[in-house]
Amino acid sequence: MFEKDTERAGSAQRDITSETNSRNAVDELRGALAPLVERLTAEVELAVVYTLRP
Amino acid sequence: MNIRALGQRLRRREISCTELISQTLADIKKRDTFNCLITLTDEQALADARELDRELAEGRDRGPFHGVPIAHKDLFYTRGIRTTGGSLVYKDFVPDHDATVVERLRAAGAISIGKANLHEIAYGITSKNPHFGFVLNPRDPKRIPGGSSGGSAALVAADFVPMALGSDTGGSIRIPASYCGITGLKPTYGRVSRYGVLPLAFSLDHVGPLASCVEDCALTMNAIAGPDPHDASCAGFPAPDFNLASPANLKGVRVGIPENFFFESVRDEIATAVHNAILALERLGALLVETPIPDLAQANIAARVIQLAETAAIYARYRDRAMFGDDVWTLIEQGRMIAAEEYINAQRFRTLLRREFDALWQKIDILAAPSTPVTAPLLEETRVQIGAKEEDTRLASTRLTRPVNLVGEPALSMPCGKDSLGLPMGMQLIGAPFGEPRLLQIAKMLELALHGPAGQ
Repeated sequence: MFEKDTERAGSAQRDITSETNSRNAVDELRGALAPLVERLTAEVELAVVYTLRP
Repeated sequence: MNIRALGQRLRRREISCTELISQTLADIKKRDTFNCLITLTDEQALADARELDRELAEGRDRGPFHGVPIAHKDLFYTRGIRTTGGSLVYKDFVPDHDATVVERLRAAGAISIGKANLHEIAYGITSKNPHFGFVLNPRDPKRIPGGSSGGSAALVAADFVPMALGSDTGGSIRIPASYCGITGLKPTYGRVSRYGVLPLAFSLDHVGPLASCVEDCALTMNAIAGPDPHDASCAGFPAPDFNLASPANLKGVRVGIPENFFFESVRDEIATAVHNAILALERLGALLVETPIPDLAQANIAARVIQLAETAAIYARYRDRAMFGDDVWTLIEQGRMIAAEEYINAQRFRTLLRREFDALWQKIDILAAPSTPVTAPLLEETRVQIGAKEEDTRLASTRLTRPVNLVGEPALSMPCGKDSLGLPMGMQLIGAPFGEPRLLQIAKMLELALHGPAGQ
């Protein structure tokens, strides 16, 4: 029982650590995205590369 | 041996399709210590070979691929044969139809010997698959082959098959091609059907060949490219001939040498090798044009945001982290944290970049650059040294390839020498949208100049 509880607690701790690390990584990416967003004037449309032609 | 050389042996009756496939299967069973394959389809391959032998005996020749052994990354649907994606999620998935590209290669006479190992769900560059085993680099088994198409690259580098199909979302064809010393082509977005290919990121995924030489890539494109009513993202116009004859020289071809980004943080030996290859292009008659290029560091940021979000969308219903390796789960988790506005603005940034690349193609015909800033890292190397700087292995490996996925341009990685450790170095040739025939033609001439005739 004790072992199972310890295992569960360890797993929960791992999940929290993993989520915190992920959040930090995404925050860093978000910061890097900001200068790109500043370049986007209203006339820059949402388009995907489906429209590529030779 | 390349496709042309194998085809000549088959047509001269020096060997039958059945003998060739038997030899290939025996060779794999004996020498594959690299964990190249998840599934070996030996019985099916031998049955196909017998049928193709019958056809040749009756005078029916399907073309360059007739009887040639190939493999598919285990991401491509194969009817009646499990398609795992290198993942527990799909470990028992047996498709009831073939991917369009699988079907087309079969129709061209190619014989699939199996499904190649890969980085789990194609989401990573090490190919250290926690469920199906690590793929090792045949050039040095202490090193990663690159990924995610690591098994495909290893099969070609070990000379088991001349071509194996792969996919490329941020460099997954070009990185393993570079690390394994083979040739890989990421075609233009929309050039090759993705129907029946497990997706990773819808607007970044591309399908293409990893092969022993440039001509093998061209021959593969002749077999797989073209419109597909099953795939809305596939361009509607017919595919041209990708295996053009070489002209006498490259007079009139403008080769762009990027003034920014590509050479800013690569190992010296690689920069030198790529520059030497560029000089070889000049000796062939090409005009070298030093040119500033769009901000690809920013493109990397946008591409990472898009990939994280799109992959998280695909795996939205999977909430059990035990189903995934730690690295893949972390990326899925990060993708769930991307806000809608961030994804949309990253996509809008693509529009800007597209315009900038269109302007670039007015000045040059191809862009020459390194494929990866380092050679194949050791299996345990999570960070790599580049000059005085240290960088995360995954981000370093994808840094020079990922931006091209954002714009969709065709890009080929080919060997351009070996470093002081004897490891292969790769260079990238990037062309304008749907410019593969010219790109491959130039690459073929460069390959001859650098390495002599292919397939010997």
